[in-house]
Formats: sequence, structure tokens, C-alpha cells
Amino acid sequence: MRFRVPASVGWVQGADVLPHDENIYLLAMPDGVPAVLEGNAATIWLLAAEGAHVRQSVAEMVGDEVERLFPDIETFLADLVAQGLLEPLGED
Amino acid sequence: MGGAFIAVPLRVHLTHATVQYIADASGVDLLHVKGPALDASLRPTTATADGDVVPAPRLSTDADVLVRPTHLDRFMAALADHGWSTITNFESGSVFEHAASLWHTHLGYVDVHRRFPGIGLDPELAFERLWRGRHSVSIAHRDCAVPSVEEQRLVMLLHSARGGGLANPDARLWLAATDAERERCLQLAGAFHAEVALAAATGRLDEYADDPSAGLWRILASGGVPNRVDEWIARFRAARGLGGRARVLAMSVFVNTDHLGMRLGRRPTRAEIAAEYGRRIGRLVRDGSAVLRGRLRRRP
Repeated sequence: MRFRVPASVGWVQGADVLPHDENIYLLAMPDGVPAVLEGNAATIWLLAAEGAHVRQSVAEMVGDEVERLFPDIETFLADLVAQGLLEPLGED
Repeated sequence: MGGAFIAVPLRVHLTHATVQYIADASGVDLLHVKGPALDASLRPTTATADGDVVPAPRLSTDADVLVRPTHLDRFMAALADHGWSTITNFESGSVFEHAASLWHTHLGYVDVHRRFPGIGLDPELAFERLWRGRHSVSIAHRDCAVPSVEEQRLVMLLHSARGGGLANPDARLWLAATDAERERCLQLAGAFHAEVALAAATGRLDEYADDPSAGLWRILASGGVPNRVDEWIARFRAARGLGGRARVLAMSVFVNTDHLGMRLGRRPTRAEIAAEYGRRIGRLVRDGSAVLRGRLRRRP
């Protein structure tokens, strides 16, 4: 499962602006409400935004735990897609 | 996820990206200046936890953009269509009537400039010159056009000329510049008819003592709170032509209803506007008396 960030989404890595800010800040332009992703949500976003295969990448980080975690991750990603913050590119 | 608090410097990045998005959709030429648009080579440096020296992030409280003057009306209409409210308009925003300040509930402030104070070149020609030298930077992952690095240096110095001159932190862009960078900056100031303002920024205003605008720039570069009469005399001298001078005289007692509304936190009533006119005229009379007393005392 891969994704890309639509051209209509602006986003900032907090650490690029403020020291020790590990959050992601994103906005569906021009009329969306800015959103904040913290912790694991920020990590998943970065994987998706880089075009990585999200499930494989998570599996590389957590091993077999991916089976337990992935339903929640899928729900989170579907939510981002529904809000226009990500576009699915397919399975490969 | 949504609607959370976002620190202003982070929000400013999203603001730059959003106004660029709106400009793109409206066919508007826009240049981003200051804040996150400032080239890394012009920022002060800071040490990281690892001991690396890197350009410091530029923390701003609003986003600053310069719009091509012939696209201004279209851009302002497009911003209004997307929820931006005008807080101060061009005429009431500053002495130079150069920028309007707009507010968005989720994104904060953007300052829309139609020209830069200190640049005497026709605003459309000045924009075109800056536009020709532009390059693109990514702000919140949106490509935003910015002036060339050396033109950014000039713009920052002209801005510092209004805020303390050499005492302004951005004066380092002159003080720490190489001879070649200073020479290029002086050349650009000539091309943009910005010599006097640059002189004010760089402590060389005496070279332009005979220029009609020198008095105004001396007051602005002093960084202190000017006597109102001295300021208005300086503005009168700097104004071009009879029309310009008549406008300065009218503005000397003009009540900025935008600012008054911001101070009161609501739209001012007629009585409050009238009272403000009374206060302004009274202050001018008091300041005028002080100036007169000072000048009489200085006479031999």
C-alpha cells in the first residue's frame, strides 16, 4: 500500500522550524483546518509521504507486531485519504 | 487530529503555502519575502545539539508577500473568497501605505505588499525586476517564488531602515557583508531608486542630507518614538508634488479607523472617531508648541 501527498496539501515537519518538535503539521489547502500528527501518527505520515510501502516499512520496524497494529494503521490512513490529505497509489 | 493548537512560526509556513495556492489558482504573480522565505545564507546561524552550525530558522508572526500591482485586486478578491478578512487596508496600514494586513481564523496574519517602502522605482517596474530574478523555494512543501538572494538582502535592509537602522538585528546583512556583497547591494539600490533608504539602513544618511526624504528616513531609522510634528514635517518634505503634499497634510489628522477598531476590539462609533480626531489635533498642537519652543531656544 503506497500513497502520495496531493499537491493541494501543505505540510511542515515541526523539527524544521522549532527545536525538539517532532510533530507533523498539515493542511488541505486552501480551505482546510490545520491538523497535527504526533508520535506514531507522524511516523506513518512520513512513510506514506515518502511513497514507501507502508505495511512493509512498519513490518521492518516492529516485526510480527505488524499483524496486530496494521488494522489501526489502515483506519488512520483511510481517514487521511478521506480528508484529502493523502492519495492512494495502490498496493505496489 | 484537527483544530489543535499550532505555534505561530509553524502556522506561518502553512500560511505562505496557502496564499501561494490561492495565487496559483487565480493566476496571480506573488513573491514571498522575509520569514521562512528568507534565503538560508542570509539568516543568522545557530549550533545544533550535535555541535553543527546551521542557519537558524526564521521565526515570524505573519507571512509577508509582494503581489504584482496589476494583479492586486484579483488577489485580494481571491483571498476574501477563502475566508481572509482585511484588518488594515493599504491606506491605513502604515506611513507608506504599502501593505494590507489580513487575518484568517485558522492561519493567522498575512501582510500583502503592493510595494516596498524605500524603493522609489515604479511599483510595477520594481516587481517585474524582482520577478525576473526570482527562484523557487519550498515552504510547507509548496513551491513559492522568492527574489534573488542579493535582492532579498536589499529588501531586508530597507525594512531595517524603518526599524532602527544599524541598531536593527538585520543590519548584520550589511555589517557582515563582504565588499563584493556591499557593492552589489549599492548597485541594486541604485537600480531600484532605493539609495536613501539603504543609506538610512547602513548609517550613511549624511551622504544624502540634501534629499527631500532624508529627514523622514532619519526619524524612521532612529528607532525611537518621533515627535508627531517632526514626523509629519519630514513626511511633507518627502512627498512628491503638490498632490502628495496635500495628501500628507490631510493624513496628518486622519483617524485610522482600522487601528482604532483594533484598539477597541470592535467597530468604533461616530462619537469615538470624533473624539479620536480631537485627540490627534490636540496632540499635534501640543507637539507643535514643543517643536516651536525647542527651535526658539536653539536660536542664537
